[in-house]
Amino acid sequence: MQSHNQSESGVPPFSPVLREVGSLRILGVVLLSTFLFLAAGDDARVDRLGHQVICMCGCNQVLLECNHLGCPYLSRMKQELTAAVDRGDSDTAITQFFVQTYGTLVLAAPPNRGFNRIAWLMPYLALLVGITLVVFMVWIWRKRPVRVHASVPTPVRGEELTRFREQVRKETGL
Amino acid sequence: MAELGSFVLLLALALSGYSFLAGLAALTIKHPGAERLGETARRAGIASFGAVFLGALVLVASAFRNDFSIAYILHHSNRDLPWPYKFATLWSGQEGSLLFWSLLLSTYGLVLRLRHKTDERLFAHASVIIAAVQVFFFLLLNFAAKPFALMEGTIPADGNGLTPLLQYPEMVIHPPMLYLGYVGFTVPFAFALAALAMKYPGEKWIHITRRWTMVTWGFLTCGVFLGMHWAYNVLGWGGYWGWDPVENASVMPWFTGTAFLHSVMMQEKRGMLKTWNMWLIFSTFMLAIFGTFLTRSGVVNSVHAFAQSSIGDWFVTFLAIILATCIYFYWKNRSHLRGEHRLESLISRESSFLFNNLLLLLACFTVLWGTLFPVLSEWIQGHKVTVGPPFFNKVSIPVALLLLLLTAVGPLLAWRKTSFESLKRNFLWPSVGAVVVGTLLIATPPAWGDPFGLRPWHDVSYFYSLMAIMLSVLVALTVISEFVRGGRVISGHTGQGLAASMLHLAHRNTRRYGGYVVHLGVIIVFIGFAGSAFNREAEKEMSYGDKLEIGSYNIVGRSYTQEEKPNYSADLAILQVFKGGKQIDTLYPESRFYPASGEQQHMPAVRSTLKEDLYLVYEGQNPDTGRPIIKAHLNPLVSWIWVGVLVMVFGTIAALVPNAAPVRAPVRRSMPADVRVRPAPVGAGD
Repeated sequence: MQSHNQSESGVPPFSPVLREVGSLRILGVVLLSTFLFLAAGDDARVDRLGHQVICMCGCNQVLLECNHLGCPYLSRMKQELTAAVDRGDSDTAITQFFVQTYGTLVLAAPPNRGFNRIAWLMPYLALLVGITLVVFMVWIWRKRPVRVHASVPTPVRGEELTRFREQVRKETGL
Repeated sequence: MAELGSFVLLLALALSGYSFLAGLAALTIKHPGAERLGETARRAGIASFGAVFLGALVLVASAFRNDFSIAYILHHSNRDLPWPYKFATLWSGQEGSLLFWSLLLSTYGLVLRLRHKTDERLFAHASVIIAAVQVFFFLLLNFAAKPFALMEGTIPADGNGLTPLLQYPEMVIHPPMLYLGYVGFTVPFAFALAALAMKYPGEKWIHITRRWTMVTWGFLTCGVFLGMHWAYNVLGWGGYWGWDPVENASVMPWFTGTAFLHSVMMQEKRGMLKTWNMWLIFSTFMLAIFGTFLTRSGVVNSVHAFAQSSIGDWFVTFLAIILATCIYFYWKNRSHLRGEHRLESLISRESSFLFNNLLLLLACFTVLWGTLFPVLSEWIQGHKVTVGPPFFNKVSIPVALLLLLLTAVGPLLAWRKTSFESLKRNFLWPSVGAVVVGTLLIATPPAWGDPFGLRPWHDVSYFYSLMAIMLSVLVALTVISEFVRGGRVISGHTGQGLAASMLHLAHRNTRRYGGYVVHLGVIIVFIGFAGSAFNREAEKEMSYGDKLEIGSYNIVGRSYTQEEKPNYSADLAILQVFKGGKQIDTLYPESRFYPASGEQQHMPAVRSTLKEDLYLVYEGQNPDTGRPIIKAHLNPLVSWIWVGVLVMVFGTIAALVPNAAPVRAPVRRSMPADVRVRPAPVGAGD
């Protein structure tokens, strides 16, 4: 399952008391809230983008999950990511920066373009082929001839009765 | 010692080679002496177990004796290594693990050959196939990956030691479990190929191999989840599954093996899907070998992989031979696999098995595709790409949820045909229950803690979590309703209480009801997975008295200390854990240094409850400030995964218990001597 880490920062809700204080104070609270909201937004972006690239130390782990002692890449890459988010770079610009600096291997999943699009399409294609095969098998099976039951039930005795009992036992498990 | 080890491995090769050739000759030639020749082949197979067992014993004894003249012991052990890990040296490296694989294979072969009286001809065929697999592994051990190769030049006074990551109690049982699972699939494969090659009449071979397959599946399940538990408690990144190629390799045969365990019921009950089942078991065995190839060939990058070596070519050749053999016998005897019945309705147990198989194979294909795509990319584009968690999560989670839905629906559908009325009757209340739980999760205040106050519209991972929990509730309620319905019938017949009747019911068809318990285990595991959407983490440089807040916990740095152990030295952080202003625990995350290998390793400290895990990692000291860095993870519902696995194992064991004799309903005096058969019987079956 995908792991989404949440920010620990929380913004206190406005209370009715605030309505009674001066407008300057309200403005201050609004600005502070906006700042905290944006800061939380930055944290969330760092967290999201930090899970879209891998650490280049060779551990094959997602950047924010690399925990190697003395990892030569981790702190550098984290600083680069935080700086880019602080500058307000777009997501595309940030991932492009990482690709240009470290190569395509830095992306934790293949980009959905060019040849790499096949990576994303193939599972859905396989599902489509699978469903087609199942439908085809069902169609083949349904075409097979069946023994037609007589309209009037006929008595069953002896070996045939034993066979039916065995079949019922097998199919019901009772 | 090394000479003895090398000799017994050569002997094992000779014995298994004889077992294969003589066994094959005994089965193909028509000669009065063929039976006796076959018996010598069987005995040679048994003796090969003795030889490889002795070989494994010699390697373990060499580790205990610190015999560093053997290169393998030098590279994977050292004098101060605690004794359980000296024992684990056997499977810690490339050569030793292949020896261990051969030992397990020979053990399975031994049991099979000792039980030959069950069906001598079928067992003789299966024994030849197992001998062929043994020959391959003994060839590897004698010529490509020699566990008793000697050191050249001066022999060092001490060894390099076992990789620190492997010095954890679970590593003493995780690899054996996983290998028992991998290797165990050789047995159903051998029986399936034998049955096909000799055109074995009926489905008896499936009855014979049923227990082998379930035991093997149980071991593989244990192995995979023990690996997850080990990763969680040792690797220190706060997760349990990283979609690493080696992890992926272990789960692929699990998917196909699970598909086989389901679809084989269609063959037993209805005589359908014979070809499909044959290829499922072939594929499972080939995937087990393929997984071994992946971990040992260096084809894909993995932190778990063994050292890169040339044995990849051996595995590719072996896989090609297996595939060619399977295709040959399938093509030659395909008429033997013709189905006996037709599918009568799309809303039936049969079609639910078909879709179950489709989804399990799709899951397997997705994992295989994602694992091999970097290799394909390098081949076509000239450069590798990374296929990591974002890819696998995006593609696999919807498939897993669909499987969960089928787990709820499938068992309640009758064989042949299910009426709409029956569907409505069986699913109405479980569906209402699932919707009520989903609504409660959304409606409750977030202050109750995760997963309450869930907002599925905020993030797709929350939506998946909600779906996983709702579908799990649906499965649980359908399984419980099955037990209750069956229990009431028994209770009506015998006058026992409902609980006793349900137990009686389960004992009468252990496979069916054990299977339901396994399903319950699966949903508990899924609830654990669902918790990962709410994971949180926080990191802080913490000196004495500094506080770190995460969720409802306050962590206070109390002290830092050092500890010297025979095999490593450790820096420990002593951290007090507060909740609601009260101290509830003290945790000791460690940072260890192993002088023998010169490697460092984190050892996280975990406070585990059913609600959440508090997972603390001592990441070392900031080189600039010298202050210790503590990383805290708050992972909800992780314990459910381990509980779920225990339930799955219990269900598997229950399914292996022989059935009790069926209760005979009292014979009604007025019952006529003959019975009138009515068309289209409908009823819940196995």
